[in-house]
Amino acid sequence: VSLPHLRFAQLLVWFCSRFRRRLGSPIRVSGWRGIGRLGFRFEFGVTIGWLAGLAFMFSTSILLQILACALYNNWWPMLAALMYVLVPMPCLFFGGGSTQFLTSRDGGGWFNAAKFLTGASAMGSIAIPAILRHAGLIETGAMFIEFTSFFILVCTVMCFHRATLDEDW
Amino acid sequence: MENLALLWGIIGPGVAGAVFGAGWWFWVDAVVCSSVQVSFLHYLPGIFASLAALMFNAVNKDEIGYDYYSPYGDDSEWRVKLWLFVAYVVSFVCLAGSVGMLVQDALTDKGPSVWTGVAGVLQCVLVLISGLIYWTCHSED
Repeated sequence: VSLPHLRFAQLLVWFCSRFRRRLGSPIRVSGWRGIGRLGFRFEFGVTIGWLAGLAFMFSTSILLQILACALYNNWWPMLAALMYVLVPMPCLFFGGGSTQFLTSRDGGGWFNAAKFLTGASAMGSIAIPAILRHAGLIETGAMFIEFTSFFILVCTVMCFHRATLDEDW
Repeated sequence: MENLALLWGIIGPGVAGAVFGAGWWFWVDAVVCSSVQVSFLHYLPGIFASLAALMFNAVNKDEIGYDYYSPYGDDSEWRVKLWLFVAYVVSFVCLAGSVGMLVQDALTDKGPSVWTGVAGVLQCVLVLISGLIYWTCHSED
């Protein structure tokens, strides 16, 4: 039962460290968009929209993770959450704490090592449900719900990555 | 074409990691779903394949180029190539060993099933392929 909390806390801390920078951006309104309240409100609205979309996708991913266990009354698929703890670690340790290393060619050997370990960890999120299905411990439907949950999580991270890097530019 | 090479330099290390993970997870699947105990001898080809992939990616690629100039003379290049040759020998022995274990599993009824041998071969092949992918996409700086 503690596994969902562990996964949720880990990812929530990681997202909040990014959101804090993002939430600060509406205050620094400058240039033509600072003229009049309409510009300020427009940028703030875009920020809220981004946050709402990312939060919705992340919640959907967690919902599908829980649903894969609850629908079949079988909690073996929760093992896939172990990989969600592993996936942020290369980003935090070798990638400089940001998702910039994913689309960067510079940085040398450490960024390449971070990419290698991220690929190896992400493969586990696909492999664990497949092995459990092959061993007959979970149903085929639960396996595909796990795949959908992981896919939505990857899309959330990619959208978040794009949003943060757009802000940095 | 240059954009494709640039994209490969960006995405390649992640793909190499995914292929490496896939290789080891195939072996986990074979061990978990096996009805008999898999002895430690069957683990060795995968372990040494991972070691071989690490060995030939520990080389600075600039030192084996034809335009490499060394102010210390010509005796530093053969050491790098000797190391690469040793890595090649380890890779070859891993593949040969895993194929031998596959044939042994297929011929006998008491040992592990054929899927264990097939997964062992898949593991060695995928791990070595991930090493080659990493070799082709990473660049020295």
